[in-house]
Amino acid sequence: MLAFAVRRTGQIALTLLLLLLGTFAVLRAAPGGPAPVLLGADYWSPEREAAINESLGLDRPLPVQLVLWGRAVLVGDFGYSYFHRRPAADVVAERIAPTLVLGLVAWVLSLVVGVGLGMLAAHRQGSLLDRAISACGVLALSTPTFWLGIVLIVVFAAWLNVLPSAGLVTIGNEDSLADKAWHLILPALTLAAANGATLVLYTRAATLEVLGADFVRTAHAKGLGRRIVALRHVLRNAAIPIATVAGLSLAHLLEGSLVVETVFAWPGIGHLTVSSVARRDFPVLMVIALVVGCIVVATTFLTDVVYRWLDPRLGYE
Amino acid sequence: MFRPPSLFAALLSLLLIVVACAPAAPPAAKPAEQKPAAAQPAATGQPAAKTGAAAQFVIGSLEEPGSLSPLADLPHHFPEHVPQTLMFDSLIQVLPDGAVGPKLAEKWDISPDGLTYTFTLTDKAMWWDGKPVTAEDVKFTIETALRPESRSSTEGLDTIASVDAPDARTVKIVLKRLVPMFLAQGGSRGIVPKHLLANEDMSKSEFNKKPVGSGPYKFVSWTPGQAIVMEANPTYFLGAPSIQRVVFKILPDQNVILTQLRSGELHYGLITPKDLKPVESITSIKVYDVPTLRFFDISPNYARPFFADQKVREAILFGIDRQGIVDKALLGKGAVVESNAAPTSWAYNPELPKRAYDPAKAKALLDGAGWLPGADGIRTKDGTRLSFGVMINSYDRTLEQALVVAQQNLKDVGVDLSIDRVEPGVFGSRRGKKEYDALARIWNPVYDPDQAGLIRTGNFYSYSNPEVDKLAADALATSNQAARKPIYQQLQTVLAADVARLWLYTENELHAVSANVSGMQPHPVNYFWNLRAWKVQ
Repeated sequence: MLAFAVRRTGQIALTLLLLLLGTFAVLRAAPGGPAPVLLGADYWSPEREAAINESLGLDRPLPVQLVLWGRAVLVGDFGYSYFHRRPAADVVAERIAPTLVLGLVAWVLSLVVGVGLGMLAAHRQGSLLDRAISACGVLALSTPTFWLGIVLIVVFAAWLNVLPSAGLVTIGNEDSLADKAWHLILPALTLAAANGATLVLYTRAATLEVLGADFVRTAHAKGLGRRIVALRHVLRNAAIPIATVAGLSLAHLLEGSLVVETVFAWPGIGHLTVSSVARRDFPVLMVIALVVGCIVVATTFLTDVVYRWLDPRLGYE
Repeated sequence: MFRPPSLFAALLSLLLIVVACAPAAPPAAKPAEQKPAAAQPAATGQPAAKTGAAAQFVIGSLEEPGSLSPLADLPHHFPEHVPQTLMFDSLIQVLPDGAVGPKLAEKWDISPDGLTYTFTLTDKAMWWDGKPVTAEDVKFTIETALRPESRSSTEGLDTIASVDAPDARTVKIVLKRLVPMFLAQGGSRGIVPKHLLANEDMSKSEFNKKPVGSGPYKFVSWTPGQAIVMEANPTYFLGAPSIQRVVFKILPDQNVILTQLRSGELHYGLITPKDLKPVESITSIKVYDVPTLRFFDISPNYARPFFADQKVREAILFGIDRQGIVDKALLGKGAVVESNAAPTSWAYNPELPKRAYDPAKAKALLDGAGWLPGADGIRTKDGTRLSFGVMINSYDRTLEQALVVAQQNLKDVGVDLSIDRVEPGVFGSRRGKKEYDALARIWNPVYDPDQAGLIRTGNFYSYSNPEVDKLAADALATSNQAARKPIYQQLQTVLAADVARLWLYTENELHAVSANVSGMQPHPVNYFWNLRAWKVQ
C-alpha cells in the first residue's frame, strides 16, 4: 500500500510538471500577447507593445522565462495578473470556490439521479419506463448546455419568477446561505443535465451487462429479495464502469464550465480561463493550469482508490 | 480483515460529506418543497428601488473591469470607464456637445504659444478620507502615469514635457508641442491621491481593487465576477448625488441582461439593434437611441497590388450596399459615412458626395481598370485575383454581419471578400506586422476629431498622400476650433475622393434605461457624466 502511494505521488508530480511545461510552451507559442489588450485597440503601436513586453519580461528567451517562473513558484510567488494588476493567485483563489461548489453539487445531483434512473431502466428493460428514461437521457445529452440554461432562465426566472436569473447571490444579501442555495439551483440543474444523461446511459448499459451474469440468477434462485440482489450484487459489480465515468465527469465539472458560468454570471474559473486566454494573461493561466491539474490528478487518484475498494481483487500494483 | 461497508452506505456517506462541506449546497430534494415568494427578494423582480434612503441604480455590463484605478484606465472601455468616472474626478469634464467644462479645475489659462496650461483647482474637493485634493495629487497622477513601470495608458498625457505644483491650488503643465486636444483628452484623466500611493507599485497595488477617490460615488465592495457596489458621497464638492447606491453588475450574457431589464433587477444596459424588438415591448424600459462619434471602415493594406489603384478602391465602395448594411445589420440605427467623421462630430463635412450603391458603376470602373472577370466570376489582372481577406476582431459581431452583406454584394461584381475573425491579441500582432490584406475596425475619436496618426504618411496601413499630410499638420497647428473645422472638412473631402479607406457606417448607441429613472442626458463618451443629478422615482 505504501509503495503504491509513493509510486503514485511520483507519477502525480511528473504529470503536473509536464502539464505546466506544456501549458507554458503553448501559451508562449500562441501569436499575440497581452500588450494589445492592455493598450487598447486605439492606443496600440509596435513601440508601445515592445515597451510593455520588456516591462513584463516577455522579450527574454523562453527557457529564461520558464526558469524564472519556476523559481518564483517554488517560493510561492505566482506573479501578478497583467490585466487585474493583482497577485495571480488571488485572482484565481477568488473564483475557485464558486466553481467547486457548483461542480460538486451538479455532480452529486447527476450521480444520484443518473445512477438511480439508469438502474431503474436496466431492471425494467424493454418496458415503457425504460424507453422513456433512455429517450430522456439521449435528449438531455444532445441539448446544448447554453440553450438549456437560457430556457431555464426564461421559464423559471422570466415567466414564472420563482428563481433568480443569474449571479451567485443577491447583492446586499451575501451572508444568506439560503439565498446562495436559491441561486445555485438553475446552474446546477443545467450542468447536471448533460452529465446525468451520460451516467444514466452508462449505468443502464453496465447494469444490463451484469444482469445477464450467472451469479445473478444464482442469487435469485437462492431466494434473495430483489432489492438485495439489485444493490448488493448487481450494482456492486456494475459499479466499476460507473465509477470510471463518474470520476472523469467530476474532474470535468470541477474545471469549470464556461457556458454555464457565462450564462448564469457564475464567477468561476471556467469563465476566467477563457477570458484570460483572450487577454494572454499568462500568470493567471499558469495558476489555473496548476490548480486544474491538481484537481484532475486528485479526482483520478480518488477514482483509482474507489476502484480498489470496490473490487479488492485489483490490489495495488 | 476490515470489511468495507456496503456500497449504498458508502455512497450515502459520500453524499452527506459533500453536502456538509460545500458551504452553499443543500440536499437536492429540498428546494422544490419551499414556497419561494416570501423569503427570496431576488426571485421576484426588484424594481428600481423607491425614493428614500434605499434608492438604488443597477448598471449591467457584459464585462468586468480589470482594475478600478484611473492609472489602469483602458481608454473608452465601458467596464473600466464607468466605475472610474464615478469614483474619481478629472481636471475638466467634456460636456455632451464637446465643449470643455470645469471639474477639479475651476478655471485655466493657456499661454499664447499654446504650450503652457495653468489650472486653478477648487479648494472644496476632498478625498473620501477627508484630505483635500491638491495640485500635488495632479502632479503625482500625471508623473506616475508617464512612468513605464506603472503600465498606464498615457493617452492624452504623452505630450507633456513637465508638470509643476507651485502651490496647493495651481497646476502648471508644459507641453512638448502644441496639442489642440490636450485639454479635452489629457484633462479627462482621473486623479489619484498622492498621500496613499506615493510608494506603491501601481501595477500591483491593492488600490486597483480597493480604490480611494474623490468622486461622487464611494467604493463599497467588489465581488469578483459579480458586482461593484458604490454609495453616494454626501460631501461631494459639486453636490451630493440623489441616487444613494450604484451597483455595477457583471452579466456576461446579453440574454440575461435583457431578462433582468425586463424583471427590473437591472435599470440600465446597452443593447444591440436586434434586441430592440423584445425591449421595446417592455413598458418599464425606455430606450435612448443616441448617435455616436464612432464609425467603421475597412483599411486596405496598400502593399497589396490591387489596392494601389484608386479606381479599384472606388469600385469596391460602389459595390457595397452600405445603406443596406445600415438597414439590415443595424436595423436603421446608424448611418453611412463617406469619410472619417460621423455626423455628430463638430468637424463633420455634410457636403461630401454620396456614393450610393451602384453595382453597374462598380463593374464599369473595374473593367476600365483592367480587372476582368475570370472563369469563376472573380476578376483578375496579370494573374492576380481580386480576392482579399478582411481581418476583424472576434468580438465585433455587428461588423461581421455588415461584412457578410458586403461579401454578398461584392461577389455580384466579381470581387472576392473573405472574413477573417481573430482574437484581439492576434489582431494587434498581425496589424503590427502588416500580415493582412485588409482589416476592419471601429474608430472612436471621442475627445477630438483629429486622426492624424491614421492618415498621414507612416500610418499602419501604408497609405500616403502629401496633400493629406499637409492638411493634417495644419489642423494641429492651432487650438482654435473655428480655424480647425474647415481644415478637417477639407481633409474629409480629400480622403473621400481618394477612397483612402473603404468607409462604411456609424452606429448609434442604444441605452435601455428603467422608465422610472430620470435625468439622463446622452453623452458620446461618459454615459453617466451627470449621474449625480439623476433621480429614481
